[in-house]
Amino acid sequence: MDRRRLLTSSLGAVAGGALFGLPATASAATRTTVSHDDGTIFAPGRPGRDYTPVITPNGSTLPFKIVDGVKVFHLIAAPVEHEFAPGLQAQCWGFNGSTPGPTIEAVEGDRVRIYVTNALPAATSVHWHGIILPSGMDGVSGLSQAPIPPQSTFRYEFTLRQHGTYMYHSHRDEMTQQALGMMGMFIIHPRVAPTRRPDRDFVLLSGEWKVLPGARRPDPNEMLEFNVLTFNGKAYPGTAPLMVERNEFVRIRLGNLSAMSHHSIHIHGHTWTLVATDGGDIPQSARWPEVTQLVPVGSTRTMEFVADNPGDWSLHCHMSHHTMTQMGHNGISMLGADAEMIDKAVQPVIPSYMTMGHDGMGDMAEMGMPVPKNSTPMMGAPGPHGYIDMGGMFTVMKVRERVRPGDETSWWQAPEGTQAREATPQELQRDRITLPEFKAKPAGHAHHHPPGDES
Amino acid sequence: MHLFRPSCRRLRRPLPRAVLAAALAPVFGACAHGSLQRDVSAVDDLLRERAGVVVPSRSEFGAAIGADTVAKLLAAPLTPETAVRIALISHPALRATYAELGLARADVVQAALVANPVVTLERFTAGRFQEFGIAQSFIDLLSLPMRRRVAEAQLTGARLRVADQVFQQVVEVRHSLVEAVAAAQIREIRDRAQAAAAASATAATAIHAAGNLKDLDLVNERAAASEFQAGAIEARGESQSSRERLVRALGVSTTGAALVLPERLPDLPANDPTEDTLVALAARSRLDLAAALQDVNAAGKALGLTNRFRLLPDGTLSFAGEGEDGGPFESGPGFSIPLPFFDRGQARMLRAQSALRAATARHEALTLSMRADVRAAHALLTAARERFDEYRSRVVPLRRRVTEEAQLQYNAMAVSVFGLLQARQGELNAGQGYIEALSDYWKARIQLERAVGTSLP
Repeated sequence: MDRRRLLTSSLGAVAGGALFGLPATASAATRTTVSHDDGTIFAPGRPGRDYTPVITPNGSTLPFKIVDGVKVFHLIAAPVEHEFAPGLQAQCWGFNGSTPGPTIEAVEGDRVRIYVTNALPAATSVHWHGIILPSGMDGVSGLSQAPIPPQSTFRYEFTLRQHGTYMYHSHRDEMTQQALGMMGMFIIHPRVAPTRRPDRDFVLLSGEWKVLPGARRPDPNEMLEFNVLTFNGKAYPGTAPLMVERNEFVRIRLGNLSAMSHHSIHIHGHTWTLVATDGGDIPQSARWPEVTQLVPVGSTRTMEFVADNPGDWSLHCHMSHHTMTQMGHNGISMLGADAEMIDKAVQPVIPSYMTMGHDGMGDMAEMGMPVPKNSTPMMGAPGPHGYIDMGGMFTVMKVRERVRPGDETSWWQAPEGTQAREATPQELQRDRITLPEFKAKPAGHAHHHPPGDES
Repeated sequence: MHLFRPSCRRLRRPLPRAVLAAALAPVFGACAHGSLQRDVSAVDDLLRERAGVVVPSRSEFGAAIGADTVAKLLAAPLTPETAVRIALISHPALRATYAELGLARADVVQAALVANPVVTLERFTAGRFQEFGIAQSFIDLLSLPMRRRVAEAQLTGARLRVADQVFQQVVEVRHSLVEAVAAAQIREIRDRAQAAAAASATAATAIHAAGNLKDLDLVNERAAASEFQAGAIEARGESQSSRERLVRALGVSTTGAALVLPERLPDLPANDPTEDTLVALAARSRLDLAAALQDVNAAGKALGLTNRFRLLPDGTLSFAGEGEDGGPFESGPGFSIPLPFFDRGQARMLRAQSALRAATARHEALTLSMRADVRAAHALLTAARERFDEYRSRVVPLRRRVTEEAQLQYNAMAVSVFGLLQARQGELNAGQGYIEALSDYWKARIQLERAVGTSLP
């Protein structure tokens, strides 16, 4: 270290090996690993100056200190009482008091030293997913290192020779430890700043869990029936909105460490472009526009766009069951069943009974019926025009002219003529819309309350 | 009793009249009826100590006083006390049982009687010869006090047996009441279980009609509902039958359907007596045991009587006279007795000794079986109490919680209407277990009262 020159800027870097972050070159296109022989030493990158720090909604960024030109981080793996959404908590495992753990943020060329203290009841290890480093620092328990026993602290140290969106996660007893939340994002900013830095750089890590309504711990044995789907460990309405000002250049880094599910992340009101994966930047010529980006398990996708369309826009996984929380997939579908007939038979036996779901699930969440302790309605929250019957991997991007304090909880006011509403008879007549014959509907069963429910 | 023939010996010693009169007075003057009232009262006293209810007064013929109150008692919901009272007042079988006192009393009276004297008159017109004689068995007179003691001992035994039969009837009434109340409660629960299963089948029908259920599930639900229906029918039959059995135990002319039953079985008493206490109490209280002991006593007295008169089972004093028309009329006493040459009472002694040995052994056997009965009933009682406590403290509240939690899971759409109704079935099942345990407790307690021979506090 001491015999190496310390450079204060990337411009002084020796252009011997590959300098990543520069526009793609032929040599970069054929590179498969990083040259570790370069030996160039960079000054530690500084937030705000060398890079715009990322925003981790519902999360935080891991602080560091600089010791002898090395960025020193400290991760503490420990059990954590985690809240997925209001009313739903579970005993999870995480880092530094949260799951996902804090986002690690550094700059290409930084030397990082990461201490990992194990405060779990089980041995663990940490793998730096997608980061090119010496084999012994790769964190695979048993293969590249001994597992970290409980109450021990291991030191990882390596130089970052790449930039992009990466992750970190346990690599011992992955089934259990990842199911319980031992994961986080690892962002490496380019040493050579791009032509335009994003105004907002969001990090969203997807996860999935099995927590039965009323249970208090995720089930690591589950292979298929996940019922809590999260962005950064939160299920809607627990997800914090993405606040954006109009015409800002926005980057959204999507990571997926779900156990078994790929996610098609869909953005409303905008098109976005896939600019990078955890394998690196995609050349300009190879990018294409999208509105829905598939993020496979164990990978990241970096999306960029200009937020030029003001409003409240949902951003969610398009797999419909991934936008449900703890919904019982075990019940029997009541769709189309004669609710009156069932109520009349069952209510004498169970006075509080009321048939649900015979018209679908749209009104389910609003019923406000008592649910098991430590569970959350299967979806939704009150919105400006009624109930938002989405849950799980669902969040809102609020694009405003100016973001002011309190905007997180305010709703978009649609200008006149830009809001769907009921058509007037005059409009129907003018446009010669003929309506089908409707039979008079019986008194709405869907809106009655169970007998004895005075609310 | 032998007729003294003048051709046999003549007894010249006159029997003092006073002695005869003194010996016979208590016999001829005995009034059986007054004593029968005493027997009835004695039985009632034995019952008062044991029945645990107010025992109605009773005439000497066994008819209880206060028959007019039966209708009033039947109009209100029965309690163990009123049910027993009704049976004591109106059950004809009890009157029959009391009438057996009269049979035993008749034996006493009979035993205290002396064989009537025999008068013979003879006249031979041809020879104008006349003869008269009066004979009286004197052994009867001599054995009279002992015979009376034997008969009284037997009467005491009879009183004990009658009291025991009445007590058994009292216990039977309580048992029948418990069964009838339990059967009514179980019938209600089975009806509710049937309603839950029918609701499940109705829901299945509606969901199937909407196209969301396979035929297999629908048919399964309907089969289950039908099975529950069969169960409810069975419970109804048992309930109706148990009411009639209660009517039989009460001995009234009403129908089972007309009986007014309490809504539920009474709660458990705070605690149960210990086994040792109960065994000791049984030794003091069991009427059949006392009767068996009285049998030993009576057999002993009978053996004494047999032994006293083994050589002279019979003997006659007589007075006879004869004469011819116009001739002198001569008269004088006579005496006849069989000589114990061949029959020296060996057979009678063997019979009496064997009867005593049998009575002693029977008493001993009854003592042993009584103790075992008490321990067996106590074991059932203890287990029933613990089982009931398990149901009351844990099974029922937990099953209720299961239903509540299932309702929450249903609200969260994690449990179907079928799962919810299944939880309710589990709750009803627990309710049935609760009632069965409680009724088993009371039946065991009643069984224990049988074994101990008295009602328990």
